[in-house]
Amino acid sequence: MVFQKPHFVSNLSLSDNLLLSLFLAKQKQDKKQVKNILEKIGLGHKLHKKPDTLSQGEQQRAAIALAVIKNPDLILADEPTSSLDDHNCNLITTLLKEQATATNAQLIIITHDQRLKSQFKKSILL
Amino acid sequence: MNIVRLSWLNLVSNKLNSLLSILLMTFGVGIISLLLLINNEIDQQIQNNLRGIDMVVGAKGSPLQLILSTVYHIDNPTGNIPLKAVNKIKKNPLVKSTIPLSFGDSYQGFRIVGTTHAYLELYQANLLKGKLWESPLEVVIGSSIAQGNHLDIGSSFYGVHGLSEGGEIHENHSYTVVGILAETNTVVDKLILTSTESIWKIHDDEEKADGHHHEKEHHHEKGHHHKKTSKDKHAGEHHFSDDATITALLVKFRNPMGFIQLPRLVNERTNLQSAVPAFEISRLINLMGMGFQTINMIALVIIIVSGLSIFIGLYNALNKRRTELALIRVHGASSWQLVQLVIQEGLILTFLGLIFGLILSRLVLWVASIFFEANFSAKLFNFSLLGEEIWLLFATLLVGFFASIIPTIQTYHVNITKTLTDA
Repeated sequence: MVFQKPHFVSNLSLSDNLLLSLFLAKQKQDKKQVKNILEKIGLGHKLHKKPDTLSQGEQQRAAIALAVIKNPDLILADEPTSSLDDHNCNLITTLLKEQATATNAQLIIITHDQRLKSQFKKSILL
Repeated sequence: MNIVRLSWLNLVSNKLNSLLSILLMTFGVGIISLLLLINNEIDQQIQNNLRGIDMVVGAKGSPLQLILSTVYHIDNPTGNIPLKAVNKIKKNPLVKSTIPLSFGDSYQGFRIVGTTHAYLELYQANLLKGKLWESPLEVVIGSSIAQGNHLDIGSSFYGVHGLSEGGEIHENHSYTVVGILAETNTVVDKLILTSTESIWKIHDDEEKADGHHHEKEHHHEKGHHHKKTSKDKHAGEHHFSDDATITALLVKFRNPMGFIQLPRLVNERTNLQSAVPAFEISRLINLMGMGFQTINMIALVIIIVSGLSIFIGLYNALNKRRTELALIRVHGASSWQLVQLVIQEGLILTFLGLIFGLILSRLVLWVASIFFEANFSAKLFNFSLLGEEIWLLFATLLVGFFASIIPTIQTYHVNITKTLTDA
């Protein structure tokens, strides 16, 4: 689940947030995996920062990391790219797509973002 | 990462709030625990010194003063009593044993007490080295005096008139130390013991030397004329007639009937006063107990305020963290895990305050024992919990639990969709 507005446990560092997510999903708390995913989205250096200290774009990216770290079967994303620039937007969509293919997960994105249109084959217009 | 660590990190990032709660808890628990420890200490001291003394007979005056001066050696004696009257009490069939006490002199603030060897048996005081006194002017000293390096075997000293330093010195006779007692944790540790005859000898001879003037002086001071009042002062030998006096008589009864009959008998039929230590001390403790209770109440209020502070802290944090809690649920936490999270935060604060409080009270007592070295021996300082403190422990944890319960119930009912949509 990726929310339009990123939510974190504000008292925990970024890596602790991800570890908590793994703990609650009863999965192995692999610090390497946490590091890998954060490096992939360009936040490797913010590992021990509190989420509040990240910029809006960084927070959104972190929120996606939070959603996909447990390798879910279904990823729901609500306006995941709304507050991101083109570069980050690409990064996020790539990450979401990669993750979905890697774990064979379904990916559903709700968005107003025209930049995403070209990247996905199936779309429902309302 | 787990729920306990999450609770802990939540508390750590809320430093000031947590600190306030812990501090309040620490002081509340600390004060109550300190009172319990002091109470326990006093009780022990009182019981230690009280053993085997059923009744004290002395001159008329305050019964409490009589007990304090003869059993605990912390007050001035009430006066002297004639040996003749004392002998009558000894003959009563209800009396099992008696110990005479004569005092009024001191050396460097330590009291010189004239008595019999039975006094040592009463306190189970054994010799560390040397021997017991046999002839007059031989003394045995308590362990505190020996430790303080004031005196050792073979050393001799002059007694000082009165119970505080700076009195008139009895220069014509010096005492000689012949024995040192092992530590007993009772008053005996701070006493210089000798035979009753020593006291008589010193005051008797002094009277002869100084003449009438000195005698007058002696009479002014209550409780200080242990000399024989016999008119036969010219006898070269020390022959102590029945006119001799002592300060007090410690009495042990043969059976509990003594408690009913003897104190009344002494008070009504003789010119003496009797006091039952157990009764007088319980009266004294009742008086002190009032003060203890007041402080106890204050400490209790502090603990409750601490509970309130924990409640407010958790409640405020909860309102701020409603979204987070919903988020944690989205990530797969059960309602019960959230309940665990919140209640743990309350209990961690309570527990830390409790531990710090117990440590604080012991620290204070330890510092105090260094400060008043003479009154507390280091041996009595222990880290083990008192029985009452276990109650304190449960009561405090209960306060912490109730402080967490309302925020916990609210946590349980957090509406995930609504909270996250509104956020």
